[in-house]
Amino acid sequence: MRWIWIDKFVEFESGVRAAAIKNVSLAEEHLHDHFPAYQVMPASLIVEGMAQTAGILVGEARGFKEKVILAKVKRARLEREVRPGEQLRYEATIEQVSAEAASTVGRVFCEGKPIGEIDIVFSHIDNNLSGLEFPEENFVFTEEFKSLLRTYNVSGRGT
Amino acid sequence: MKFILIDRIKTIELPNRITAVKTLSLAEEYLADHFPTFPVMPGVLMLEAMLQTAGWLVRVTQDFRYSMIVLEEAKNITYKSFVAPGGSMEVIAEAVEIGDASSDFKAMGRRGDEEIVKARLKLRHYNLADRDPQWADTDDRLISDARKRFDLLGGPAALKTAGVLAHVR
Repeated sequence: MRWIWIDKFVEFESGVRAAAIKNVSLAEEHLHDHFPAYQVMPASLIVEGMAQTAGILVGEARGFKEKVILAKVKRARLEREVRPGEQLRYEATIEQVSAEAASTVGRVFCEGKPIGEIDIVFSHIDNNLSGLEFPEENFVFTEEFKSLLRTYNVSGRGT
Repeated sequence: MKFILIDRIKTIELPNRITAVKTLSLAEEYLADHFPTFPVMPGVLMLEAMLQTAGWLVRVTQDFRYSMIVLEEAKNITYKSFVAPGGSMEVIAEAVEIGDASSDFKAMGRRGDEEIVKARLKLRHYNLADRDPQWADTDDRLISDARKRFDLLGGPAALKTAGVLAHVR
């Protein structure tokens, strides 16, 4: 399985807010193994969809120079299961962004109706070390990743 | 891909504690994207490992009464370290309360004494037939699948160990 949990951005206001969509399809193999006889999108991967929407929003706000990684999910609440054939929409808004970290608030919609909230704190790890080892290069926003962004209609400030 | 984020249930201490282990291998395909030059276990799959571990304690406690055990709410999922290929994470879930239709857990992942992740989790439990009786046969299949997977993960042996421990105490 690949690790790309949004299909495209549909709204993008640099440094402020973004909305992305994700179609949930029976062709996705993991759906057949989560609850084998009743396919649903795993809640943890819905959290990842929001993390990718919000993470790209935060990354773009500082020209994709920071290594933006998940530090904390303050709250993730989902009120129902999401099934194949349904479309998810993730709406993320930047609450705060600094040299060390960023926080976002987000709402999840399914087929146009709100189904939950996911609020996240990201760490810019170059400026916010905790003794962990990681590569010098920006392993989060790689060249391959940036080329994917073009299909999302996101150019990226300073790139 | 398979969506089984723990490899083995290690211990089940009724009524409120379960431990499991997740080993990470470079053969897991998503690591090619997360990240190409720095493969590490995605944070949300650590969440999934904690959810699955807690879910097994709910099933055992309720004798597999419900087919669906899913996330209702997670709070303060805090990440402190990475898990790299070749490494593993011990997952511990402690039930604060297991009610009929929902449960509340404190969960964490660790490597020896080092904490990797921790979270507070609320799960909801239900059968599809509760909403529409036509789904009763799907509930039966899901529960049967869950029992087989519990065996595969070493659940019965983990329960047996717990029985011995309780006896010793």
